[in-house]
Amino acid sequence: MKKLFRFSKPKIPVYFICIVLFILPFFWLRPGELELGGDSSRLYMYDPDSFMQADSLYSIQPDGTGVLRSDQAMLPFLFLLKLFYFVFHSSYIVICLLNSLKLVGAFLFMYLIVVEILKKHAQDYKILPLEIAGILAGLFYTFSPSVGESMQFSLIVSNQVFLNPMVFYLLLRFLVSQKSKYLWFAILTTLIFSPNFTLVVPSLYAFFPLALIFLGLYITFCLGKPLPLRKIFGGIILFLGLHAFHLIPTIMLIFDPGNILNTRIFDRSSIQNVGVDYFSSVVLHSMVTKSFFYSYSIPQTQWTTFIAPLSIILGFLIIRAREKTFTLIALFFFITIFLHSANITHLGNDVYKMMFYIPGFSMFRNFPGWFMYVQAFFYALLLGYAFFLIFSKLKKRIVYISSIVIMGIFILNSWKFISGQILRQPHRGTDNVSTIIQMDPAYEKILSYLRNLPADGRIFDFPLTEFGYQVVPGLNRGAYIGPSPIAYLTGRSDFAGNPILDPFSVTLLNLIKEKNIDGIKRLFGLLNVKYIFYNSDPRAYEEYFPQVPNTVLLKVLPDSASLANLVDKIIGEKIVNFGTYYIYYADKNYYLPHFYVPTSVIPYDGKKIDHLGLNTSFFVDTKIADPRIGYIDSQVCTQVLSSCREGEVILISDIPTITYQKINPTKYKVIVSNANAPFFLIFSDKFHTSWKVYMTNQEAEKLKIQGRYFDGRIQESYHENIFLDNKTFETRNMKSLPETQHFTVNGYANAWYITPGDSGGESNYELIVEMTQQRAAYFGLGISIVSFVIFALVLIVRRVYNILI
Amino acid sequence: MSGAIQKQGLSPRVGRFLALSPIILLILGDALFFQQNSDWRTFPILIFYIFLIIRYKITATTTFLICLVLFLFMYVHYIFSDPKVFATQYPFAPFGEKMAEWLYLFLVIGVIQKWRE
Repeated sequence: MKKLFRFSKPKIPVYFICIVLFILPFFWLRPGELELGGDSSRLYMYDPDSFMQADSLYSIQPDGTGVLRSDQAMLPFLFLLKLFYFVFHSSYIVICLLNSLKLVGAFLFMYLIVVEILKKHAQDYKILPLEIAGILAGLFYTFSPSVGESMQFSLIVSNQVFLNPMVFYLLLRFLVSQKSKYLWFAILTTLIFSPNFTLVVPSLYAFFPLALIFLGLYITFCLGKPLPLRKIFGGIILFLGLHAFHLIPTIMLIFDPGNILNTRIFDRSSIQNVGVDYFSSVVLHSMVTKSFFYSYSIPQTQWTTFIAPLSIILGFLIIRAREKTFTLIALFFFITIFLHSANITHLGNDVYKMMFYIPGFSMFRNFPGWFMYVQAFFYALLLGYAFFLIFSKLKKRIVYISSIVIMGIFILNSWKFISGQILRQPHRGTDNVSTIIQMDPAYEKILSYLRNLPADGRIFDFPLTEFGYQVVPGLNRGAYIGPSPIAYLTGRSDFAGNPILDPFSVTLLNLIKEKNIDGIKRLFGLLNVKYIFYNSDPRAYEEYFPQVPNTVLLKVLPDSASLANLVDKIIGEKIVNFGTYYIYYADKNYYLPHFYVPTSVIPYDGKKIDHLGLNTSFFVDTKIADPRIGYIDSQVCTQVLSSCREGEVILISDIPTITYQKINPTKYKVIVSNANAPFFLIFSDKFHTSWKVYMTNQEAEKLKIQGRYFDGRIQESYHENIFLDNKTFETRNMKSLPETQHFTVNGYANAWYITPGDSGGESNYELIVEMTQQRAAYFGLGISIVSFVIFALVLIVRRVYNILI
Repeated sequence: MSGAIQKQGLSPRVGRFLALSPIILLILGDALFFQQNSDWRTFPILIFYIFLIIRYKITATTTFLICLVLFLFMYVHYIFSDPKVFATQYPFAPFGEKMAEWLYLFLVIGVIQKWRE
């Protein structure tokens, strides 16, 4: 490690800048303040342990109806955060530390890269320009809008602001010195920050292909050295082995027909709609100017942007002909400007559009957002080289003075970022409501309470937002807006936003508009809603947010009073309240447990009618008192029942008693008793062919009961959350029910048609309902652990060998 | 043209200047008088410039000096404009943006020239 950071002598300014950059984020937030919201949120900073339990261990999305997806890549990073949290016991410190890491890492590794690339050109007398060029390039990159603007609403992949230069530097050192330790260190870094190295993050493909090609050309073309191909091959194997825990589940999803990843990559109409059309609207707002002039859009400091482009043009004027390294960096600088702006001639724009038809390229539909980091990286590299060329021609005193002036101009240009104003920008469409919050203890109590609720019924949140967000006002004039903390921190499945209600998003709004309270309750029943969470604080609704994110609900319920009126009509018994946060039961007469056996089946017309192409026509107010209804597409229905006319109510009288227990979100145990005739078993999670039912052929276990519904015909046991035990793979050699007996019910859920023949004539038996895609996660995790152990052993053996020999 | 310049007794430097002036004027004309960029103007101007490079042996340094001029136009327009002007190309691209595109293209030509020299 000492050698890793051994560079030329004048290190004091570098250390000083690193210390300043480390301290800086601690001034952006006051102790107790948090900045967590945004598209992907940073709830993992608030409570990494709960986030891991709810989100990252299982291949099921914690909110809504349980869509299949993979977020296992978060695991190593969450372990790191848990360690930080264990040491500091403060989300505030963890947030500040991660911001510090970003700043220091961005600066330090950009500095090291510039020094490493330039040092072959620097004879002793050029050490000063070399060091200063490195420092200025590092500061330019660190203060660039790519780093600064991504601090607010920061996505997890924004860690690339320091990971890109860090991994690049380690690979550069590896290729230059041919010492494997740099490669191992780089790979371990990628493991800890796995979310940045999953198969589906655009940032990986935006930076690393270009970076690796650059490194290969630099080593062979500029330095004239061979590439250590055997070591590189070993590194690739190790990388794949260590990352198997998220690569394998993601690959399974990519090749899963109907999955959003599969559609985005392979479906041509999706590529056109979500890719090319989106690109065409974004391209209107992208500018080549923004690739040259880095600014935070403050009119008073726009003049400061001249330094970088002017220095680069001067560098071009000074450089001697056929300077390989400079030309190579310039070439990549041009490529990245092309990718970042997409506005280099109409021909260039058309070529860009054509690239969207390459499978997977549509991930770059928001190309300025993904390529800005890469462009900033190569810009800083070229700028470092240009500074070196310019300073090499100047006297020492002038170099000092000009470098201080340039540094001052960089700071002035980026003051909005350096001062922390970037984080303190208000939510859009609000009257200065900050994105930074002081967490309300009442809300924390609610989270804690929900975590300990015994039943696994879902929660419906009011106010209902668009985008699937939840609004949590803080003690200050601030609010969290992002993915539901209830789902991601308590593991309770909830409906916080309208799109999550799919395929009932439009239906619910219509029911509210029509004031059809009975219909709303019936819909809640179908969605397995047992609890209603209501925040009566007007700040969460029209007071703070007269538009986004409440736009949809505000159209039908224009103020807090009308919202309160609606909630009052649909709630059941009150369970608890803390401050303005209330939890109620939904109306028990309509509640359908997670598993139920319908007493009536209603076939519906399977025509696609809503904007999502999904059928909502089955949702009719049937007025049947018993809510245990299964709405089945009439065509599917004919496969199992003799008569299936649309709208007909098919009564099923001889139904068994079932008792169910959740083992974890991907596995359930169902005990069936007195099954003397065929019946439908409905499981209210999003339909997927990988949900399988297994007959255990074992004697049914006696489960302790905590809830009884419908005169005890459905019983709910005490649930567990077991990730791994000796029964995890118990279904491996079991035979699942054939897929012909498995179909969609209620527009979204799973149903199995189970006959006495399936149980060999037994009327009492045990079923296991399992999401088999989770096996890929276990398999991948196993490979990663084995790879890590082998890697650690090899390192230890090599170390011991070196000591002894 | 070269013959005509020599007949008039102009030095190669002045000849180059006279040859390059139309390029600057064409670029300025393109940026000032047309609301939308068009490849039908961009590529002919570029090809014309490449012709001049070959015909008058214009060096990369000259190309980078042109870049400096383009940069000045772009910069002056940028600093005297509201940041919102550079927020979108709709309904038409600002002058500075057009200059930025020309700057990019001339930088690319300059680097290729430098490599070949």
